[in-house]
Amino acid sequence: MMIYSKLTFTLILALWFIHHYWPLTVKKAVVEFSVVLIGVAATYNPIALTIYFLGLAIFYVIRIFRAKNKLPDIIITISWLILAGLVSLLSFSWLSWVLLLFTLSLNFYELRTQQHYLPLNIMTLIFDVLILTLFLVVSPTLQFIFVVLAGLMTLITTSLIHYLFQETDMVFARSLDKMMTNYTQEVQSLYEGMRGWRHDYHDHLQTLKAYLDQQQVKEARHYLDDLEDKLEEVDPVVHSGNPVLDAVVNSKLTLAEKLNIPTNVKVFVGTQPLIDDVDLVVIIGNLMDNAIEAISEQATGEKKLLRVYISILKQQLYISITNSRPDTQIIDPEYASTKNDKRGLGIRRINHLVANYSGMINRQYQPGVFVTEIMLPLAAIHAEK
Amino acid sequence: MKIAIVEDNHQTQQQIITLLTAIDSASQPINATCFNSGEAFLFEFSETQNFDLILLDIQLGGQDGMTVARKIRKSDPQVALAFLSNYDDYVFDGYDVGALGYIMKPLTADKLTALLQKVELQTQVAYFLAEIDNESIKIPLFDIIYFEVQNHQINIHTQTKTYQINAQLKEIQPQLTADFIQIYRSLIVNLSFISQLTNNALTLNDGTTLPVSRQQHTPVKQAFLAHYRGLAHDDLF
Repeated sequence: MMIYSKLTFTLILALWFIHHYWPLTVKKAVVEFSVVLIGVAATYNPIALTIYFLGLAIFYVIRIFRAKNKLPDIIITISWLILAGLVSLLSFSWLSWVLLLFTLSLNFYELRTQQHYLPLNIMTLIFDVLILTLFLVVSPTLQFIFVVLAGLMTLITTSLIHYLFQETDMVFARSLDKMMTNYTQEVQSLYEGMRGWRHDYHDHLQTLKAYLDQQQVKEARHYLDDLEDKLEEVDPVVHSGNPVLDAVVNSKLTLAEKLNIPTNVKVFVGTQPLIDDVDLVVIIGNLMDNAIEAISEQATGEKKLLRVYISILKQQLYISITNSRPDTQIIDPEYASTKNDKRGLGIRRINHLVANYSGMINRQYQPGVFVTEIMLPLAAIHAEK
Repeated sequence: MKIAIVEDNHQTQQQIITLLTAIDSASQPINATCFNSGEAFLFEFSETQNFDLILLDIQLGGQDGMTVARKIRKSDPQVALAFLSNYDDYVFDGYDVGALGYIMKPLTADKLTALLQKVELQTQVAYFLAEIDNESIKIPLFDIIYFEVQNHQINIHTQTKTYQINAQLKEIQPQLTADFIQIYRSLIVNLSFISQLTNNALTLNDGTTLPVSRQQHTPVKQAFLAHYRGLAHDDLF
């Protein structure tokens, strides 16, 4: 019975691994696979368990060097080290229960200090309980049941989370479709306005000719001035050469104008095909939404600015959006991977699309300013088509 | 300053001349010549190569502006070039002719003044001096894609050919501008020609893939971004 339970557990972990990390990159595979292997080994033997905890400690040590907010990781590392030491010193007794409680509180601490996805955290907690209880249970039958439960838990958790993420992304995609319809309408009304002008063109010329025939230069001049003013009315701010890009940038700029945000805009890409229209709208729309959102959170009196620069430089589509932000705003570098709100989803979508086009993304911030730069290689985009 | 205007629209020619006349002064004398086609200009250019700036319309009857620019570069890698273009004819060419800028029509006094200032600042195209077979050869830096060490020699890959010189990367580095960055022990690349950058490699515009060492990845990424940020800052339109 004992050996069966271990085998089942191994199998379930392997399944979980394949399910979760497919497709793999080599580095990720090596790291994750060793974690899983040691985890499996740990269920066989207390020494392995010690090594497992030590491994986790090392993992968090690495994270300390990378993380911006170091304190939680430092605390967690120390805790794992203590845990590893205790397990190696103690045979399982009532002290194991203390250990178990300690791990749990550790997890709670992690949950509170870092912005993780809540359901995932709760599942992890339950999983921890199950794994640690394994070592306390003497009866092989019970142990078998626990192992199966723990395995099923991991599978269900990851599937559930995968499903939830996909579902929210779907909802988001649907609202994007709606956004697209809006932009298409905007492009259409823009063109209708232009067509109207073309239609009137003939009449304007006739009027001007009539004035000039009668030597009424002053009137002709006045008429031209009038026309110029009207032209500015129909003229949207951005003429990039790409109607979809114009639509999305112009509509966001209108929004900025309504909020009295000073803008500095330079957008020009010509008529050559760029990336897919929907992708373009998603990237630019999200970037500008996030920028405007941050600006509107600023207190009155703080300097506001939205700068949009989109152009083709050599062989790159270069996008740079700069926005002012509240002095008090705290930026979480892991926002996109941890938050499931509109902004988090937006950032995830952008990252995903930029990666799809083998592009590069750079986010930089200083007190009061945030800059996002995106570079998409046109050579790669055109090769794809 | 001697300026050539290659433009097939007579009205635009007049417009540019008017603007140039306004700038023309004793301290900055301007002498402009108009050409109705690329062919007409190239014919003249083959005789007298003494222009300080060539303004090229992208959409020309006959050869387009980009083709004319390439032909100019074949005989003169140094002369300042600028393109004039409309919203609908922006050309993106893999071949880098080292143009000063793309100027959106209509050309205004501001844009023209900025361009002329730029010409004055950059009349000197930077060269790389290569000793090949006891002969000094000048290779314009904007034409060099990358330097590669091979068998104790350096291969200089330009857009059209490859030169070989006997030197070490360390020795040539002082000759290079900030556009060049070392990506690997044996490689120095011109940032202008990088198309994509992944974790351990980069792809050039022509599809060549080169390795990027681990410790150089972050500096290369930053330099690549900074290079484009710089271009974004001084583009003229």
